[in-house]
Amino acid sequence: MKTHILVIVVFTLVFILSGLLVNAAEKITLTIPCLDTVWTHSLIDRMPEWKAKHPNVKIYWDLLPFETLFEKQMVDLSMGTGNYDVIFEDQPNLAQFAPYMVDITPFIEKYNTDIEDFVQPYYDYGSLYKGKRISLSIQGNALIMFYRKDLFDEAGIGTFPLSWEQVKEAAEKLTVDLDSDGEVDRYGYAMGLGLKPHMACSFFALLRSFGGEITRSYWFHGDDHTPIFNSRAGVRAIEWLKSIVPFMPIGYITYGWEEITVDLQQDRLAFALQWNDIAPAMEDVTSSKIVGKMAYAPAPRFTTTGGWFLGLNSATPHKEQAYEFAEWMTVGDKRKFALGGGSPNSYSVYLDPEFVKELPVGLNFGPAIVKALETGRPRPGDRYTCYSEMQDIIEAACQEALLGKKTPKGALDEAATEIARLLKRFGYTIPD
Amino acid sequence: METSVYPFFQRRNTEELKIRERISRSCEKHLQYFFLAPAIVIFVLLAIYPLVYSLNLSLYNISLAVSGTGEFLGSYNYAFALTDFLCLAVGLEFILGLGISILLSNKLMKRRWVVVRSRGFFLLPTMMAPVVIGLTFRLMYHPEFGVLNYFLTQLRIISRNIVWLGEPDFALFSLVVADVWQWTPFIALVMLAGFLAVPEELHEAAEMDGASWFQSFLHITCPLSKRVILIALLIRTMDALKTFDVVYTLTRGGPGRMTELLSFFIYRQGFRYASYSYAAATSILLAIVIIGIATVLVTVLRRTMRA
Repeated sequence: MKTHILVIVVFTLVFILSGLLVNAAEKITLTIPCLDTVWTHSLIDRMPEWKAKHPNVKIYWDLLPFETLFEKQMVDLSMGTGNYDVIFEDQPNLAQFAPYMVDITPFIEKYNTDIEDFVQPYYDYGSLYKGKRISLSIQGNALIMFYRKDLFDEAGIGTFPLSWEQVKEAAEKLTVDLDSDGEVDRYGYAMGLGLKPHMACSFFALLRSFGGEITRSYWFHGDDHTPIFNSRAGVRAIEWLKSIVPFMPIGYITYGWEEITVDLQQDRLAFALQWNDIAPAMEDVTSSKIVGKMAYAPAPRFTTTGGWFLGLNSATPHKEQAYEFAEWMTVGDKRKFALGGGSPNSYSVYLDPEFVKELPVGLNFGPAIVKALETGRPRPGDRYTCYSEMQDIIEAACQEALLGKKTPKGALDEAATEIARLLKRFGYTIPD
Repeated sequence: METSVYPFFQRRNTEELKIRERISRSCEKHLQYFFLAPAIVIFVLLAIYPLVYSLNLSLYNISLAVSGTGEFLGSYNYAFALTDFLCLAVGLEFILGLGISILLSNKLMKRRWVVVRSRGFFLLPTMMAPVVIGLTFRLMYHPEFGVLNYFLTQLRIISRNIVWLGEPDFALFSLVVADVWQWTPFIALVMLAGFLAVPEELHEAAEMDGASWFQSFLHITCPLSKRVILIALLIRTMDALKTFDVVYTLTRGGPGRMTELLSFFIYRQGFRYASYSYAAATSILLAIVIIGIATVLVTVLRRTMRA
């Protein structure tokens, strides 16, 4: 009896072990952290194509909300644990992530990856750090104006491009109390003014439009990183925001992209500065009351660009497979990605007028998106490893100024002093 | 000389028995360690190791955390926000908890069967996950669609919708309300335990001597429940200093930095900026502050016990 039991146990163990060994020998699993949003789901839906070409490379998608995505990747990269093989990099995180990521130039040469199709200099802003190419561009985004053409025509407001002053006038005209009950039913304008990272995106667009910059190194391309956002242009940006507050929804100080999207869909907002890849939500018949009424235009003067890139974790043991996957996601079949609601960073997609017509409404701007990506400016995360902290300091200062806790000049001066100290701590040159 | 085999076997069995007994006792003695081992291993891994690691990490940047140039705790804002939050939250929880525990203690009031039967109901907030509470309050605080603004405007208590989480005058108070809602039942429960431990004969004797309910509460219940009250305050103060959940789910430290408590600052340093040594140094300092406050309260408690 005991012999029988022993035989059964040994046989079971051998069976299990052999199964594990066979699996280990044959399959590689790549773990990809990913933003949980519509266009990433369209990428996941294409997995059968990948599986058909690479049956031995399994993909595990770790879908995460925006902030958690950054934090988990940051911890994984800085600790060198290698849990994630491919890194889902947001453009402003370039400098923070770059020290822990692989230089993919040899892979680009080996696989002859076509990076010429990526819109420049937008691609460099998210992938080139101190001469090291660390990622491929999967998505190109810019803040653009979403505006209700029917309301603009009704109010007799001219079409875009408008200046920021004209935007304010339009916002005032379009803020209406439809049922005369003393409460505003539709606000004129909104832009992201909540924390992390909405306020920073909006403030930088305004700052640059009014002739300012974040640090001196942007103007002189030198090694002087003195903060200069507390200039007259920065103060003017905050004062402009304060002047348009009466025409913004209540709760504007907490508004992010989601809140703006819902207000636009529900006809509670006439126009807004919003990311271009959110445009399909305006045409979603299941949730939008304004289908077919939204139009799109570039932001006045300067806009903020952003977007997602795929790179390789330097701690991953599967660099070749990870690069093949990243290349397949980014360079392979961008048209399919665009048709699925994505916003690829691509000249060939947006400069083909016939193809652009097939794109979902809201993404069919064609040359306008290319222009926004070419002329827009990124957040300074492409050059400062401490950008996250810089962003938080600037956003806190802007909010305090908007809420009247401090004067615009006072808030920005304090923030500039704090950022100068921070940059010095991180080894950036700030002449005395 | 007896050469009986039987005694030989008896002696052998006895010796065997003794050996077996010795082995059995030894096994029992070591068996307790065997059963304790998993708990000890988990405790060391989850408590001791992180503490030692944090201490080690903090030594690399302790100077940065205490430079005294305004970089201590990052900014004075955190100290002020934390003090305000601590005083408001713990103070309100104490006052409300006291009131609820008096209501629930049917020794002090006339028996109220509704109150007696609803004791379990009062514990529901403490049993809920803090994140769930934070998200629920976030919905309630919504400036346009939240129930709070709706009812307050309907009752004409406010004339306009308030941005509870966005206006400087209300943001910290909104956090306090969520925290008070969750933890007041805990304070009430601890105090209730103290009140019910007071012998009933003392109240009866006081009643016979003509003392009112309030006099009985003030001169009998309170002094005898002082230790319990101090313990409740100690636990809640230490917890309040570490508050993170409501800040994360409701305001993320905003608007500006007005609701950024120290725990949230530490989280930012560690998880957003990857400044692990700075975060560790600040968390050690926070631990020192908590230990300091706890020491004061425990000293007062000891004096009460001696008295």
